[in-house]
Amino acid sequence: MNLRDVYIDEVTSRIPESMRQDVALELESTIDDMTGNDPSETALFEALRELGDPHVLAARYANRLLHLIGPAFFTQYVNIIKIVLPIAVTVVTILSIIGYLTNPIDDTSWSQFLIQAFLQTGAAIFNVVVQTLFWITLTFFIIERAVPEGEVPFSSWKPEQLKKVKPRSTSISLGSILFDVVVTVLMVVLYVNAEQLIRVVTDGESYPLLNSSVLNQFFPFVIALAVFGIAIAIYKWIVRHWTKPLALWNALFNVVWIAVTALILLQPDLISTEALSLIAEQTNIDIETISRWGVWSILFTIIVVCILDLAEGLIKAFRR
Amino acid sequence: MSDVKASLVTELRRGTLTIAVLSQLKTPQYGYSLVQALLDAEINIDQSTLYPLLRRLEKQGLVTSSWDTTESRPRKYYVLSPDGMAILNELYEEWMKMSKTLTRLIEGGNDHESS
Repeated sequence: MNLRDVYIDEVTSRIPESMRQDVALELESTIDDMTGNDPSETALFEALRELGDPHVLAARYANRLLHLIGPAFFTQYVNIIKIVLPIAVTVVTILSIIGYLTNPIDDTSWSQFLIQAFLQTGAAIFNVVVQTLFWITLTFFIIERAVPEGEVPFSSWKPEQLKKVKPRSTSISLGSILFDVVVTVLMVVLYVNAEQLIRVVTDGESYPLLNSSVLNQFFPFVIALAVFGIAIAIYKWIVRHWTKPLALWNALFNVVWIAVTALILLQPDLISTEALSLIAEQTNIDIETISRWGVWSILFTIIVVCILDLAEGLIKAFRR
Repeated sequence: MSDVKASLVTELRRGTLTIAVLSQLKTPQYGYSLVQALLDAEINIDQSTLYPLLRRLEKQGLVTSSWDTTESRPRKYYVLSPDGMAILNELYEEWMKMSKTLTRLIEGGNDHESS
């Protein structure tokens, strides 16, 4: 087979069966017209260069698009990725955290457990990002080719939509909502697995820092608080900007948060005496001082964080 | 500057390709003779665009094609259909209108009198 026929074959093998023979014959006579009979290789190459890349020529014959997603769909494509990707990442993060919750550490050490958890969560997030991008791109790839030219399958933009746009200064970012959800889930995991995860470690020995019998009394409170937190996050996600009722609910949530954590932290026998005496032994400070300082500094931090969150919502909702 | 000009000229010509091709098909032409005819008129059309374009025009019913096997090599001839002839005339009218409008716009300067 000479190079002319190789070129023709490269084109026709990429176009529909029905037009193959005709296109092949036409290309053959066209190339012969350009080069004359029995051309030198240089003359033939000159002609083929003018006809260009056989892939491109074939795509034009077959009326195939030479792009993945064209301008008609590109903004919708990006918007859908922006909506789906953060949700997918959050769900996967939460699921892998829950995975550790149901599958607590046995004989592996703390640091090993942490590294493993980080690596596995990272891999899961990478996986879901790649999957999400792939399936959305594939869907749009198909839509791009299935919709007849000039038709608009999504509702096109209307000026009326501007009425629904909320001012940026009071909007709640998706990132902060997802952060709230992740923190809530993390807290629950910490609480349920406190015996494994919160420990005092010295060389060779380790004790759980907290008395699980005391902690367990508050199980219903903690679950109720978590449900409240998730509900607030969903509320925020639906409204997406600070309204007065949302800010008030959020304030109530923060107050309840402070109350429940204070209630738990201020239990007299929350911290196990074994762990305390171990710390006291190492640091030469008496047990009373350590536990008082520990509890109050944590409580103080929580109060500050909660009040900042509460204030942000109220200020943004009630200013104007 | 000349780069900018070249890309603007390419853009300007792109829309006129179909009308140029249709204008040459009042008499039957095969692919290569059509390229030559357009080149003589100093219209340089990319061949990888031209042949697929001819097929599209045929699909749209503006040209018809037939194989002539009497010559030394078989050639596919394209010629305007009655529909194609009508479209060519309409496009030509549009072109004249556009040309007049542009002339008026460019030579009229800041004169905003409407026609």
